[in-house]
Amino acid sequence: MNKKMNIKLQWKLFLMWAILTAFTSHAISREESNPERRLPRTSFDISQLERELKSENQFKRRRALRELIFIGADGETVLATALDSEDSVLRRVAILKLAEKAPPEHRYAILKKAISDKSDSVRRTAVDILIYSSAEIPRRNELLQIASRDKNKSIAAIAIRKTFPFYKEVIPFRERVDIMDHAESIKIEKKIEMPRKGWKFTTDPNLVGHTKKWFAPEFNDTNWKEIEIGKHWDNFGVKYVGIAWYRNTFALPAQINAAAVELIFEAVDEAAWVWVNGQYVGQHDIGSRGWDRQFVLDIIDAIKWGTENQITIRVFNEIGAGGIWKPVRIEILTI
Amino acid sequence: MKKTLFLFFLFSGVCFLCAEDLKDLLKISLSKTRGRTVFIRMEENTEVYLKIENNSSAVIKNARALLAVRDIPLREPVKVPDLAIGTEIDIALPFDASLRSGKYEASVLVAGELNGKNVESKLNLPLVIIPRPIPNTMPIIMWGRCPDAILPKEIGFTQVQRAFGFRQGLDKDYSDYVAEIRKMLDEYLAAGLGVSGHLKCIFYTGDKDAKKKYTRINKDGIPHSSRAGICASSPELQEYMSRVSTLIAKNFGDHPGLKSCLLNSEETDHSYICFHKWDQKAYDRFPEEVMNSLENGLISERHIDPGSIKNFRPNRILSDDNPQIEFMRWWWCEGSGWNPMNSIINNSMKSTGMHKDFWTFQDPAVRTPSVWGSGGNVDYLNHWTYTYPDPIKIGQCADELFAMTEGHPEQQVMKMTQIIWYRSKTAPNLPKDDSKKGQWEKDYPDARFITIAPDHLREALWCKLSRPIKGIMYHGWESLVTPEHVFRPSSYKCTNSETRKVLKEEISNVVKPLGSMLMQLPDWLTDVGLLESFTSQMLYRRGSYGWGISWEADMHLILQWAALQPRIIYEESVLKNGLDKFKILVMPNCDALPENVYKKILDFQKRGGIVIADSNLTPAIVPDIEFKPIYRTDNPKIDKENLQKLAASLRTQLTDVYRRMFDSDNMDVVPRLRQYNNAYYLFAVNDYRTYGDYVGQHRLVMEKGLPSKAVLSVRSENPAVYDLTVHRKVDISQDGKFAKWTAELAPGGGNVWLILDKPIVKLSIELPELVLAGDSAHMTLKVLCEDDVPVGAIVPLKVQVSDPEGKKAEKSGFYGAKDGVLEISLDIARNDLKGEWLVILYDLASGLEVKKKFTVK
Repeated sequence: MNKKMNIKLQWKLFLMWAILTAFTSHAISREESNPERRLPRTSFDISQLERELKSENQFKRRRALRELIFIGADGETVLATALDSEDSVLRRVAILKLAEKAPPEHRYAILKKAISDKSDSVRRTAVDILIYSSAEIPRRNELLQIASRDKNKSIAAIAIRKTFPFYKEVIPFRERVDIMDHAESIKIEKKIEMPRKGWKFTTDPNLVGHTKKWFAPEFNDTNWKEIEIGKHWDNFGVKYVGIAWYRNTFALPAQINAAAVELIFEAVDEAAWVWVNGQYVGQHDIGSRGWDRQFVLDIIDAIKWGTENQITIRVFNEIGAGGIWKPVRIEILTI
Repeated sequence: MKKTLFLFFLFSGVCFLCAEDLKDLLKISLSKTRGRTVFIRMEENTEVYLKIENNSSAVIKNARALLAVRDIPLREPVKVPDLAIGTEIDIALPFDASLRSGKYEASVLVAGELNGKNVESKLNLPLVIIPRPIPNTMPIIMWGRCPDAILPKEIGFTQVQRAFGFRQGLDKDYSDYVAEIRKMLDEYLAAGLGVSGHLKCIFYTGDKDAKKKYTRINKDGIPHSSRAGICASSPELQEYMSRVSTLIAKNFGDHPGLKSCLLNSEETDHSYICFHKWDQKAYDRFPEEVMNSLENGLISERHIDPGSIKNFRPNRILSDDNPQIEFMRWWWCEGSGWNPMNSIINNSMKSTGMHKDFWTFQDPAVRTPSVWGSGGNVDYLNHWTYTYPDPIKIGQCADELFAMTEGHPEQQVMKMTQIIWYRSKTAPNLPKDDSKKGQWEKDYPDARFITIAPDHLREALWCKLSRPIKGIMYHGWESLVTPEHVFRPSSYKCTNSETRKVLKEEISNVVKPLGSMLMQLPDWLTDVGLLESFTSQMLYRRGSYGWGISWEADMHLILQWAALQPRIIYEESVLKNGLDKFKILVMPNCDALPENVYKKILDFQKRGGIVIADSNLTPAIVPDIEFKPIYRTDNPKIDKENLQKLAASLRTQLTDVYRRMFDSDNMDVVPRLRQYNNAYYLFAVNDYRTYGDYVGQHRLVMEKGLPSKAVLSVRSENPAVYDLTVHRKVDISQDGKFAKWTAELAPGGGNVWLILDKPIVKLSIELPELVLAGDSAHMTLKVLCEDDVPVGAIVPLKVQVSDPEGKKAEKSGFYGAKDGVLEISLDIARNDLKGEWLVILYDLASGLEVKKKFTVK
């Protein structure tokens, strides 16, 4: 009898549990399925938020994250678990919220891990913290150097700008939003081939060239090596991987009413930063895949018509042969 | 009155008989400056302007002038002041425009006394009265120089564009020029076409010195470049343009043929930050750090270096009063000078006698970052779109225009499709093998601009019509017509003759019949917002600038393919109106935000709002759904597939959390909803395409539409659904709370269905049985559901009024009957035919028809 009662009781309890579970899950399901009912919770159970942070349901998971942020300091221990979440949104937000508050060494560890994260957005957040955070970050520059080689060009560009002070947004003339409507009307008024010979060249293993203004027109490059462009520097006995500099001059005709003056590099192996008459005019830096890509810089604001102009090119090569291995020309465009 | 006329004719007759040899002493001609010979029926205060010269050796006295048609005077004779020897005078002869519309061979007779003898002169004067336009007619404008009015009219345009103005300085005598333009306006009006002007400041600074004076300069005082444009902030130029505008209004403002005017196209987008003294004075209001950033090149028109911002935080949330952002916001709204300049021109024209139906517009209005203010006070914003690779992007651009007008609620939106296609973007490489060339490639091997593919044109049109635009426009006349219809050879080539046929067909079958309804039909207030962030655009070079080729634009396309209905909003809109109306906020490329916009989004999320974003989102916001941006390749097929995959994923993720209002079970059939009271209008556009043999062989554009089918659904219980293009009720099935039906769409085609709570059961016409010629009869037309209650919708109707000979009379045409009722005043002319007239009312929703006769005596 007792046993029977017990079974009955157990059965009743099971039913009650089942109903309760069904009701709860129905309530959650209703809550999720009807946005109007997803009212803010006014009190929070940290352990529930911790569970929800690991939920399979992304809506729940991310709402829990928002609520943890809302709670503030009391939720930070749980928030720290989000640093290892599979969800990149959780990792990104946790890094932002926790990195600056953590002790310096812990901060460094969080950011070091973050700049190698598989998610672009997490790496970008880490780079932003490295650049813009007022908190002390040990070995900040070392981390930024790593970030400046990020496979994502935009993220790398952010870091490069901090580690190398020369950067200019490069938008080919034909692709400018104010020109695109008239791109078909652009005429090449004149083409000028850059001299193949007469270039001066030096390597820069200590990365000091830009600090010593090797790009300045008046810089004395007489001690630099003579080199040609249109071929890799290896062809001239330079077996080198790293940064190197090229300098030369070129003549321009008397003033033309140009809309743009484009400096066209058929290819540089593999990245380049360019100055004309000491003025920085842009770069081509898309990583090792940039070695055979043509790129174009509009130099109209830097040139001097009817006279000699000075050009300096800083080249970076990471793998194999390097240098300005294809021809360079100028196209004067009118519209 | 009758006695006066009798005496005048008697007097004239006598004069004519006894003074024929004195005819040449009096000369009359049309006044050069004011002469109009074409009038709109019932136009008030109409006058014909004449010049009368006295070529005799004595004063001409007691002269009178009479305007008549076949000896029927159109008004009483007008007394002409005495004319001294060798003088001339302009007089205005009142003209009765209440006659039935048509062409009239009128004459003006001027008779007077010379040395006691009678002299007279007669001028034959063809006059035209055109019917009044049907209210809410959709403007269809051709931006391009058409040699005449015939072909544009035949295609279906309502306006053609002509550039004119006073370009030789303001002190010149322009009377010949004004007469020529007014004659042109008359001719177009007589043909049933309006003229749209194009006013550009650069037209008036054409001489070298003036251009040099106003060219935008950099901080060193040197012109920016040959594309720098002129500085619209110059007080002198603003004053000058105000005077030009006034002169235009004074000389043409009374002419109803001048319908609209485009102001300063493409100027804002070619503007560089300028450093004239007046510019620098304006910059003084901003803190020194802004000036330093300008000096150091850290701020340019489309970019602010984040490094130039003090205390920039890793979460990329900026204070609301960040000076750099404030400066750029101000610069795009006011600082470039173009929006204030357009306001000056608009206001000067409107305050100097422009007729009330005239309107101004700005195009391209969203070739700017996402900030309110484009066009200043112009009446309409417009923007052109090249439809490749995906025609539905024209909807994205239209939605940007609506976002722009939120800052200026009186402004309306038009939308323009480029007839021209860039050869370089569609079919760049001429095949070497002749057998692989299309016919157009043989005919025009060097064409730089070719014709839009017909299916793209059709699809783009339906995309436009599914939005509450107030006009449609096309550019590139030479790419639409064969060479004999162009002024001069152009780089635009007509490489597809089908396009013109399709345009004509769509205007005739869709735009004209449904235009009046569409013009009055509001949008459905969608609950899906798409934020375009000005702050992110400035700091991270985001934004579509009206090109529709950015990730933000593609996100809009994804939402369209997912059968959601995005409404684009700007940061200003979030700050002003909040996000209460939305359940979903989509945030593509929202890297950085102002503090208060950020807070509004947090509030939105607290209320249960869903945020969909990409991985560029500021890390301060936790999105509910996040995507990695997809960047396009050169393969439109793969791009579309990838974007549609994302659309499918989005649909799945939203299934349990978002309550839809409508849906399409086929992603290539894009639905869009509009609403009037309880009536819904569901549009569907067929975006199913493949590579054709026009440009498809180049694999850059899928230009060939394919037929498609979809099950469409709307949240409505047992409604009556009407197909508005075939004018019949459609069979529906009820699936839970959704009414469903199957739609079959032609290649590139579209359709629209009216969804009503109750079915239409009958039509009625109420009008008097007898109307006297010269009187007005009031006519009430109704579309009724059961119990004779007018339907609570805007119903497209065709009304035909025929005279006893069966000729179509004024007021015949297509209407949109608001709340199911249409009131028409039939103004029977005194020269209209007497007898039995017929009114036919045809409902373009249900296909019902009703007729009623009345008698004119």
